[in-house]
Amino acid sequence: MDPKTSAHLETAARNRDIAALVAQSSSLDVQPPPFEWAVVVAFYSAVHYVNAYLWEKQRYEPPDHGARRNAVLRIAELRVADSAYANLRDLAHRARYRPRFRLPRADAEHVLRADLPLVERTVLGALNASP
Amino acid sequence: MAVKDEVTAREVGHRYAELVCDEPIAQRLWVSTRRDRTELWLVIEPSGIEPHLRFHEATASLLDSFPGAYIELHVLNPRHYTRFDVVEELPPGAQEIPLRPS
Repeated sequence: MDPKTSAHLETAARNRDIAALVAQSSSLDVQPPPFEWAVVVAFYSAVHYVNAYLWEKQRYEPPDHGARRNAVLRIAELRVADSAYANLRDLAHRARYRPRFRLPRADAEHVLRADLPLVERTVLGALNASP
Repeated sequence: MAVKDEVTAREVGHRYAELVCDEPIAQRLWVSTRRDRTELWLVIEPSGIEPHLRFHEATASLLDSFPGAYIELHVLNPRHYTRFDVVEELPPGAQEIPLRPS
């Protein structure tokens, strides 16, 4: 595996773990707790998983989020994870830019339990890599 | 291929409406264009996040009708807002597409 691919996978796993910590952040002195930021970090975990795949398989670095999402949609090995990736991107964008957006803990946990793992499994399976 | 003209964007919206009109929690749909993409804005009843995936899956199937188009869906779930005002969430010029025959 190319070193840059490995670096993407390491950062993806790191962001995944950070997202899980933020989702358990009810002890932080922020009300309501910042569960929407767990999804932002989770999205940037997914970004690095996809970047790992694209670099390893195609030596391609997508220039922006649109190009990356298009790749997920059009590459057969990744397409199974497209809806999960699109949901992560949609929620993360809203969390960053919409001032009244707040995500309940249950919804953040669902995304971390279902959507991000699907992206992770899809990429790791395609790369024959382990978590 | 980018979906640039308004007519095609509305066609995308109507096709998407056909795909999701049987989903009881789907309430209203708008379409807009930005640079090279068509954006769909779907308002749903307040609900958990599980149904969001089904709505995103439907956008993938639009590729059969509009190959090469870049289509982005925004699911607007009032449960995710401290105060939900759909007008605040829509971009200027967004056009409403009837989800179901009136």
